[in-house]
Amino acid sequence: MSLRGRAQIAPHAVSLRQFLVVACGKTRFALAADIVRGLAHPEETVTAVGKGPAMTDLAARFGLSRSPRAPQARIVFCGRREVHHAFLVDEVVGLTEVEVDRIRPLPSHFAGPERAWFTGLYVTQEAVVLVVDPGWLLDFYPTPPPPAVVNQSESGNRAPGLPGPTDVTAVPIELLNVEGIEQATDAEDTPWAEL
Amino acid sequence: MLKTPHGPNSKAAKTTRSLVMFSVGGRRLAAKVEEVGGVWPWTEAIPVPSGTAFVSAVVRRGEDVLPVFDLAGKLDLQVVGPAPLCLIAKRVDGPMAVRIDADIPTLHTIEETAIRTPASADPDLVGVCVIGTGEVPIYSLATLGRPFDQRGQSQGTASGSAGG
Repeated sequence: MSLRGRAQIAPHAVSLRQFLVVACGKTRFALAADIVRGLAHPEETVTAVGKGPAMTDLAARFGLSRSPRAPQARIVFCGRREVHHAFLVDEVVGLTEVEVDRIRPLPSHFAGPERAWFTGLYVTQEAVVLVVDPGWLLDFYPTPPPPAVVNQSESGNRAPGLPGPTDVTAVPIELLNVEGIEQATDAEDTPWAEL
Repeated sequence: MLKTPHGPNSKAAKTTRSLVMFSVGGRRLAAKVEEVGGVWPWTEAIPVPSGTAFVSAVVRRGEDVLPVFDLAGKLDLQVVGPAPLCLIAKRVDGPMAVRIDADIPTLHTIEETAIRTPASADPDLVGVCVIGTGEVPIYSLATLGRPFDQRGQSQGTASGSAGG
């Protein structure tokens, strides 16, 4: 059978944005991948040289009530230039690429400060994902908090629970003991990197 | 020449208005039928961090994402019933979902003259009427929860415009 009749599929430029999708309770947030510097278990001792980011529960950053520590909780290190923060999330869903056209504005009914928090939202087969404005997320503090380095022994004596506001140190993602990232190959809604 | 007391267009028939009556937390409420976009089974709402009063979640229906207006919260009530319903409010800037009691909403036709101006200062409350045995407040779904300065021409009493 000839393939001659087949229409030529012209490659069309699709503008994609890459996000790290995280969950806080039932709400999913998309963090621009280019501001994500690393991931860690909350209990993990992180020692590295660098700026000491403030630890914030991402839900609390948005004024949501904090829930008990989820078993899949992770720390997400975010940064840009001199500003670095660490956010506690209930779950890291995965890395994903989203066509820019699929990102729609927040409904106009949301008329408060949340319009500065989110640049929009997109839907997947199973969820609605809010796209967090990276500028707002990282502008939490007018000036970066002083760096703090936690050594192994201090951390080992700490009771399980939320680290203090300057309890952890940001490290590049490649230095972290991050669980294996597996590349998915199928549908657009499937995060291509499951954590 | 014959004169008509109320002009050439006056009709002997009384003007009526169709209202949808529903309940939230056991309290009966009504809205103009043209401001109701439908009634669905309630689906799980997704919390959205928000500083907008009573708008802090969305529900999904297919590809559509509708903001949720927490009417029960505004009225300081709790939705009752094992299977709450989702009433679609046709707000001027787009539809919103409102969680209501499991009681199936009912349609009522009343005379416009039976609608009174509400005593309450609640800007969402546009009238009061009697349906059955009790008074029922009429809410404007077209402007529900909108800031006062954005209400525009849609604001008014339920009896203020014809064509319901």
